[in-house]
Amino acid sequence: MRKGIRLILKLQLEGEDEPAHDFAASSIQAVREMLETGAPFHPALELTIRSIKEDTDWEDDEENPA
Amino acid sequence: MSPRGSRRSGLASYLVLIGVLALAWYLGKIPGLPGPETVIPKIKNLGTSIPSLEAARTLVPDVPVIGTFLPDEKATPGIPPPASSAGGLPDMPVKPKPRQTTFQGCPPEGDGGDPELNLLKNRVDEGDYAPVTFEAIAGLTWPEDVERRDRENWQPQDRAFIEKYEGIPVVVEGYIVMARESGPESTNCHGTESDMVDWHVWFTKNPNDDRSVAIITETTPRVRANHKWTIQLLKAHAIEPRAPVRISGWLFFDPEHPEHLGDTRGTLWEIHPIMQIEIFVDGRWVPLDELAG
Repeated sequence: MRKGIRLILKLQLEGEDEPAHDFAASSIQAVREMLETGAPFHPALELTIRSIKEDTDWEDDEENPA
Repeated sequence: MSPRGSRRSGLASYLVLIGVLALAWYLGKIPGLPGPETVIPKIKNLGTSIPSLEAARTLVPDVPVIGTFLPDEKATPGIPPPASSAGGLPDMPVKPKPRQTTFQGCPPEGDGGDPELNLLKNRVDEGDYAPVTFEAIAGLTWPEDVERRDRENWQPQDRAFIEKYEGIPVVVEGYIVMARESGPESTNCHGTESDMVDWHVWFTKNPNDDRSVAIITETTPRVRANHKWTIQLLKAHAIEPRAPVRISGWLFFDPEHPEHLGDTRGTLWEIHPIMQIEIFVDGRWVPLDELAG
């Protein structure tokens, strides 16, 4: 039986970077590479990265309640 | 001859000279210059490029573009004070140009995202704050098409609508019902330390209103660097006693999170950045800094 699932990941990355350097672009690229690098360890699963984008929503932050 | 007569005589000589040159050009007596048969049709064609002045006005709305972001030493040089409208938003066709600074290596446009948005959030200039009612901001509308869109993708008429109000320096009375640090964002170069994140301050009309009807007001790292504000200070003097608060700052439109309307905010209009916080204590408005001890 062929199965499929769509996952929503919520990651938080921190690291050192130059202040003006585009941290969002470089960290998104890094996560893409992490996923692509790890995918061959699970050849039975076909991975498609549909989108990775920054979550700018800190307004209703459940992990950081007031 | 009097000096005034001498000036008139000189002016007449210049006019005669210009007339002679114009006649010579018209008759084709000046080599190297395109003649009237070349130039005049081009001038006539200008009229077909811009059908009417009124049409041109729809392409370039009569609203100042505040996104020039040139450094400006004084907050409002030559800007007339806004016309009062008894608590409503003032008519202010010419807005002060935002002034920004680089803060801890973070440029005013941030490290990505919407640079135009970040430049507005990172302004540090003081304004001539116009007293307006809470309702004047809470009741302000916006074009739906601007939601979740970067400013560079806004339609000119939508941009004109927002810019009619955005950038007005306002002072509003109300209550703070909640305040907390926000998270890393492009505006602040994704800094994670407390001195590099905004604070979200939920501001309401009445002391016990829910934040679903609040105006989001935000303090920024660059402005807080000049103050002694802390979240604890806000809680102790404004939130817990529900004391009346007066917030001064810049009217700003944040298109990013319409999904929170009626949940964690009442409007997409914000006061951002907050430039001054005053608490009503013992019959007078006291800057929060004075309560820092």
